[in-house]
Amino acid sequence: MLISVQYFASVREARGSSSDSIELPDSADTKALLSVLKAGPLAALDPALFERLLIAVNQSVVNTPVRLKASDEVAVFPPMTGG
Amino acid sequence: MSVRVQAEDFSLQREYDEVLAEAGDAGAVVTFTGLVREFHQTEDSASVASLTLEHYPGMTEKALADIEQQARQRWPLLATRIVHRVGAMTAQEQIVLVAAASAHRHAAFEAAQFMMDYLKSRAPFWKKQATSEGENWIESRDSDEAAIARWQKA
Repeated sequence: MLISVQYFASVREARGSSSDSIELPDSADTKALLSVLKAGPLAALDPALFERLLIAVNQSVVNTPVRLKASDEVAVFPPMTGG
Repeated sequence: MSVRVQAEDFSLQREYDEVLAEAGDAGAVVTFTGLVREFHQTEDSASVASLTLEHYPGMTEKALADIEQQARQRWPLLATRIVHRVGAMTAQEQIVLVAAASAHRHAAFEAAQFMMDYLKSRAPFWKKQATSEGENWIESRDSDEAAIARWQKA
């Protein structure tokens, strides 16, 4: 399945793009997606930042691996700094 | 109750008036306003020329509404409001407003602080500053997580 991943802030800048389409095996989870990103599109990301990345599925941050569907809205970004 | 994300500045008086009108018989209204600081995580020599707030449209509104809802479940609030700006700002400009109205002061004070504490690291905003030394993304602080942990223990 093809998963569309959006990037924000320092991740978007480091990637040089606001999104990627990632091919994953059907029923892959967020952990598998991060592995693919680490080996490919986000390989150049500062490792310390990579360790702190957050991943949101359908606009909610997930803290444990979640199984993905092709229709999911997925985003990867650094810790939030609002307020 | 309402949350807004906007590029424009806001009027504290207008927000206050609207919260009060919504609250009815409130005995306490707490408003918090966050401002752009001139020196934030910078070297002594580097003052901030501008701050740019990026966000995740869609998720931002959802996260703010969720934070507001949590506050309303936790305290007896008559009205709440969160307004957060995005885009480019300069020193001393207003970034964020949080308001909570209640019959008594404790609920209003605590709810306003709760919403700010959660908003700092649970709503998808990111700050980038431009200084005389260049541009950099503001780093999240461990103290922001500690502020949330305090509410989870309570």
